[in-house]
Parts: sequence; structure tokens; C-alpha cells
Amino acid sequence: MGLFYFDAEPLLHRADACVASPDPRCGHIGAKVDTILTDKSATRAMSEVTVGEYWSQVCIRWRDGNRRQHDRAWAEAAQGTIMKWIQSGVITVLPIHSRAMDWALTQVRAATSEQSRNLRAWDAVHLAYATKWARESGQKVEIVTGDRAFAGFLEVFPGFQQFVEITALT
Amino acid sequence: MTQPSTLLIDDEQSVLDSLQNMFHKNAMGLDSASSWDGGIQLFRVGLHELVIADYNLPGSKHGLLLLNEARAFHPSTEVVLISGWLPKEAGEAAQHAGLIDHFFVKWSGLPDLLLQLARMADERAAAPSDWPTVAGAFLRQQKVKARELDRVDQLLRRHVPNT
Repeated sequence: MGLFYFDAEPLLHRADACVASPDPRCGHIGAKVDTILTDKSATRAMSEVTVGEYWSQVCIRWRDGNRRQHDRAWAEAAQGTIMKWIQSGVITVLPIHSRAMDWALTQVRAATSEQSRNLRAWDAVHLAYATKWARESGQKVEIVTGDRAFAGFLEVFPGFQQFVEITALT
Repeated sequence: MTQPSTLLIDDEQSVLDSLQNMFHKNAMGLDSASSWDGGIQLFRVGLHELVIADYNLPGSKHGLLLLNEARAFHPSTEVVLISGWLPKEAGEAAQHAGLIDHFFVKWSGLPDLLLQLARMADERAAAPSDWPTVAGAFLRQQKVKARELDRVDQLLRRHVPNT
């Protein structure tokens, strides 16, 4: 049974694929997300950070005058969909990890000081949640992201590989 | 299962086993490693509240340097040095230099003491980050000088055979 942790980007691209004339890339990513969402053997989760990022990005697209297809109707559907997933248990929102940011600061700094690599704070927070979930459940967690740079983190910090793998849907 | 907030690093299997049993009996988790590398790898992922390391680990790096590495990585972790070899004064020198939080000689009452510290670590881990404490630990660690660490490390090594 696979454990999947989502950050916001793949879910956003899935929502982007729901406009009348979507970018093919969004359609491609959306299909991959749907595969995970409909896999009966999978357990899916996200953090409150994911929900917040998703919510905010939907609103940004809605306000963007250049994105005519991302109108109120689209935003209502996009936000409604994620709420339905949460309500029905398709994706669980993990309990607050009260140490996530403290943990994340350490990893962000280590990525720069040891490897001259960028690890953004919110990506590190996602990693904190996924790693905690993995350690508590005793199973490896697959982090589903849209960020290729984040995916490269495990190459330089192999100690995490027993707990998480990162899949960048691009 | 909650992830353990305490990490023990000791190459003596009997010590690891007896503490694991004790923690288990008290329904507490304990991560453990028998080597420097294994310990650091576990720590970098877990960022435990409390790290306990034996001084006399195999290899040239001793527990003091391991604990300093852990603290440099995550300054608000509480670090405890234990030893069956070091005299109390040597360990206390490391404490006074601000390199470790506690030093204990290995004695029959040690497991109970470590369990007590671990209970407090579990309580801290369950609470939100205490940011003033996090900030204070970071600033304190910035003040640790490599020269002072080296001086204390050399002082401790004199007491341990085969170093």
C-alpha cells in the first residue's frame, strides 16, 4: 500500500487542466494525479501548508486578468474539489507538525552550507511532514511535487532515502 | 507510533539493549545507533530533542565531537555525554565550555536518569517550538570556537585508553 504526500503544485495543475482549453502539460500532470487519487491501494495525505498554498494560488489565478479561463466558476470548482477530497477522505490533512518550521530551517541551512543547493523553506516544511509521516507509519512516503529542484534534494541528502522518495510531476 | 525524540549512540550492545528495554517498558520510543555515522544519519532526519552519546565510540572521532556536530546542525537539541572512562572533572570541563548540556559517568543509576531526561524531551517534542529558546541556542552555538572544542577534546582524549 503506497503512501503519497502532495504538495500544492500537482493539484493546481490538475485544476488548471479543468479549463475549457487547457495547456497539454497540465492535462498530462492532471492525469497522473488522477491515477494516484483513484488508486484503491494508496493512502494520500497533505499538510495544512499544501491546502494554504493551493488556496492562495487558485485565488492568484482567479485575480490574474491575463488568465481569462481562470474565472470565478473555475476557482469555485477548484476550491470545492479539494474540499470534497478532504471531506470524503480521498486526501487526509495530516495533523499539525508543531516542529515543522524549526526542522525545516535546519535542512534549508544545511542544503546551502554543505551542498550550495537551494532548498526553499516551504519545500522543507513539506519534507518535514512527509518524513514524520514515514517515521510514524513505518513506511516510505512518496512526495508528489511539481518542483524538479526539490526532487534533486535526496541525491545530496541520501539519509532521507529510507523514508521518502520524491516524484516531480512535470 | 510517535517518532522518538531521544537518540542514543553507543557501541556497547548491552547498553543499547538494556536502555531499549527500559524505554519500551515505559512506553517510550528510543532511536539508537552503534556508530558515529549511523547516529549522525539518524539524527539528521529525526532532529531529536535529546541525543545521548558514549564518549568512546569506535574510530578517531569521539562522542564529544559527535555531539558538537549534532548541536552545530540543530543547536536546540539537548546533548548528553556518557562514559565509563572519563572522570567527572573531564566531562564537566566539556559542560563548562558549553559544548554539552550534561555529562554522566556510566553507573547503575544512569538508565533512570536518562529516562527522566527523555521524558522531558518527549514533553518538549509534543509542544510547539519555543522560538526564544531556538533563537538562543542558535546564537550560543555561533559563539562556540573551534579552538575551544579542540582544547577540550584533547583534554578528554588523555583519559581514554587507545586514543
